[in-house]
Formats: sequence, structure tokens, C-alpha cells
Amino acid sequence: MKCKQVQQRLLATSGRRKLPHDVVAHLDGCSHCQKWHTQLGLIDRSVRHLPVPDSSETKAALIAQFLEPVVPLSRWSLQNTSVTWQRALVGLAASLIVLAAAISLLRTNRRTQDSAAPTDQLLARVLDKNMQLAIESSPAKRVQTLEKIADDLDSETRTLALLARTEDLNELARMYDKVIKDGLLRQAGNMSVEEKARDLPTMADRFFASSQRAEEAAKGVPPAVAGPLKSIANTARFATDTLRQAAAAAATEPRIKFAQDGPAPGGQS
Amino acid sequence: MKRLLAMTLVFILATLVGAQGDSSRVTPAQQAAMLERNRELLKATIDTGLELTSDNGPLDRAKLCTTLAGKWSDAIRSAASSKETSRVHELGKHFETVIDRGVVSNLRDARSKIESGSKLESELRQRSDEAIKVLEKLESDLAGPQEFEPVRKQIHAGRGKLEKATKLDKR
Repeated sequence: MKCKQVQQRLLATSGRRKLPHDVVAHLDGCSHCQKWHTQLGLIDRSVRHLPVPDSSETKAALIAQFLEPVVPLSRWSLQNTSVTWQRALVGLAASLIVLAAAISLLRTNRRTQDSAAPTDQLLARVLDKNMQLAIESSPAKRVQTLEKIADDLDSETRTLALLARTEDLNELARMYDKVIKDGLLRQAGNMSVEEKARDLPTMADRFFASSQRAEEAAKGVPPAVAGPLKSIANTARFATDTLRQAAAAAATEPRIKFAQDGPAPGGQS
Repeated sequence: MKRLLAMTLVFILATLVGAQGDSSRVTPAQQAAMLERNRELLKATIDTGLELTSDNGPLDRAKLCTTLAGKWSDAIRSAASSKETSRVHELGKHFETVIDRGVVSNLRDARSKIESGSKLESELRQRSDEAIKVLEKLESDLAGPQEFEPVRKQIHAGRGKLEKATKLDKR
């Protein structure tokens, strides 16, 4: 048996345990291993004399903790209460997030349904204005409402010029013509002289601008689509001329009346 | 902890603001398709509007609006028979507008000007009955399917408004 093996066996069998025969036989003939064995015995004996820290207080506290009765809920320490509130707040925050996410999901679903079935904006606007006509009796107000309807029809025709069917665009142009000629210009004739002089010049300018826009739009589209746009431009130009004439007539009306009544006082005729 | 709560609040606000979104935005292509579909209804509405600008009294205006309501009710009926729930709801809302602002308001106006027991009073009742008939027929046609129930209830409420409009104000 070699020294290295003997020393390993000695390390594995420290203390008072009995050594195997082959190790004892080697120790009898090897002074180096005898010395090694003596030192190991010295270490074994010295270990129990090493200083150990006093654990009696910690031990007592641990025992006391086990023996302590269960503390009622109302007497929890401030620290415990704080921890509970924190947990409650985290729980609340989590619930709110889940709730908000649910609301968002529901609304998204509803929005998807809405987008699947869009509402007709033109129809809604035109109906709203026509129902205003059902209760308005003043020609000046009717003219204003009819101008808004005409504006809706004009802008819709330009917006949908390349998308709608030509027959639908033609129908919009016909409706525009009807609103101007059978509605707006007739009602404008019923306005008072003051209202005509005040409102019609600016309205005529707006129709002039509409005619220009429709003409411009007609230039950039195929001939089939240009027809309704040109028709709107013509009607708007007709409205411009008629309103300007009516405004001019209203501006001169007091003089005409005056002339019918006789020469102006102090005037040189 | 404070940071967590602040983040939660920001998340909720963002969710709610985001949910306000543009639900009613319509593309030009969709509007073109709707023009094709609603063209006759649009034309009838504009024609009635032009007739309303004639110097007619409230009874004539109520009659014109009842006729228009009849055309809208035909469109609702057609949408209901094709099970187009969203269209029934959309047109139902407009139908209510025609009844409220066109018929009821004019009958109320007429009622305030017509003396009790006069010949015009019987004409007022006739106008009201004509409108109620349009509503009754539509209400009965929409009865049954649960999805049309809100519209049917609106129509039923409209009948009540029409009956009330022709009654003398006792104040």
C-alpha cells in the first residue's frame, strides 16, 4: 500500500474509529505516515476547543415566537397593514386595467360593426335641412337653408365624380338645378328689399365661386362625368346672374319708387 | 406603488379616449354606393322640401311630411324584409325626425291657431289620423324580430306624440 492511499484512508477515518489492518501494517513501517497520523489526531482534538458564538438569545427568541399566541386581525402591526393595502391597491389597479381592456374590446367590436354599416351622411344632412324648411316661414331663412342644400349637392357631386355612377351624378345635378330654380331663386324673390340688398350680393359671389369650382372639376374628369359638373356650373352661374340682378334692382328700388311718386324734393330734374 | 397607479390611470384614459374614435367616418366609395341606394329617398326628400317652401299653412305642411314619412316607411319595410338591421335603425332614426320635426311640430302649430269645434279642427284630426295610420302600419310590420324592437318602440312613442299634438293645451 502506498503512502498516498494510506493518507487518504486516514483522512476518511478521522476520530476514534478503528483503522483497517492494511493501514495499521503500513503505519508500523512508515515514519512519514506515522507523523501524518499524529498531526491528524491533533487537529481532531483541537476542533472541539475552537470558540463558538453565543446563540442562546436567538434560540430563546425563536422559541418565544413559536410559543406566542395568534394575534387578532385588529391588532396587526402597522407594517402588516401597509403590506395589505399595497396588495389591495395592486389588485385594484389590475382589475381596472382588465376592465378598461374589456371596454376597449367591446367598443372596438361595436366600431367594427358600425364601419361595416356606414350611415349615409348626405341623406342625413339633406333631411335635416328639409325638416328646417317644414317649420321656417321667412323667405330669407328659407333661402339660407336652400343654399346649404345646394352646397351639399354641389360638393357631393365633385367628391364622388370619379366614383359614383354617371346616372347618379346626373340626378344630383338635376336636384341641384331644382333646388336653385324652383326653390332658392323663387324664395329670393319673396325677400324684402332690405334683405335682398343685404344678403344677395354675397350669396351671388358664393354661387360664382361654386360655378368656378365645378368648371375646374369638369376639366379633370372623363367627358361622361364632366356633364353633371358642367350642368352644376351652368346652374350656379345662372344663380349668380339672377341674384346679382335682384340685388341691383333692390338697391335701386327706392329711387324707382321715388320717381313714381314725383320729382325728388329739391332735385333738379 | 404611485407609479403603478399613475400608469393605470394613463392606460384607462388612453383606452377611453381611443374608444371615442371616428366611428362614423365614411369613405367616398362607400358614399357613392349609398347614393346609388338612397337616390330615390333623397329625391323625394328634396321634392318635399321644395313643396314645403310654398306658402302653405301648417296643416298642408303636416300632410306633405306625412306623405314623405310614408316613403321613408316603405324603405324601412324593405330593409326589414331583407334583414338589414343597421339600415332599419338608420332609416328609423330619420323617420322619427320626419315625424317629430315635420308632422308633430306642424300639427302643434296648427292646434295653437285653430279654435275648438271649428271646421279646421276636424281637418287637424284628419291630418293626425293619416300620420298615425302610417306609423301603425310600420309598427305592426316591424313587430316580432328582437333586433327591430328599439325602432318599433320609437315609432310607438311617435304615435303618442301625434295624439298629444292635436289635443288642446289646457293651460
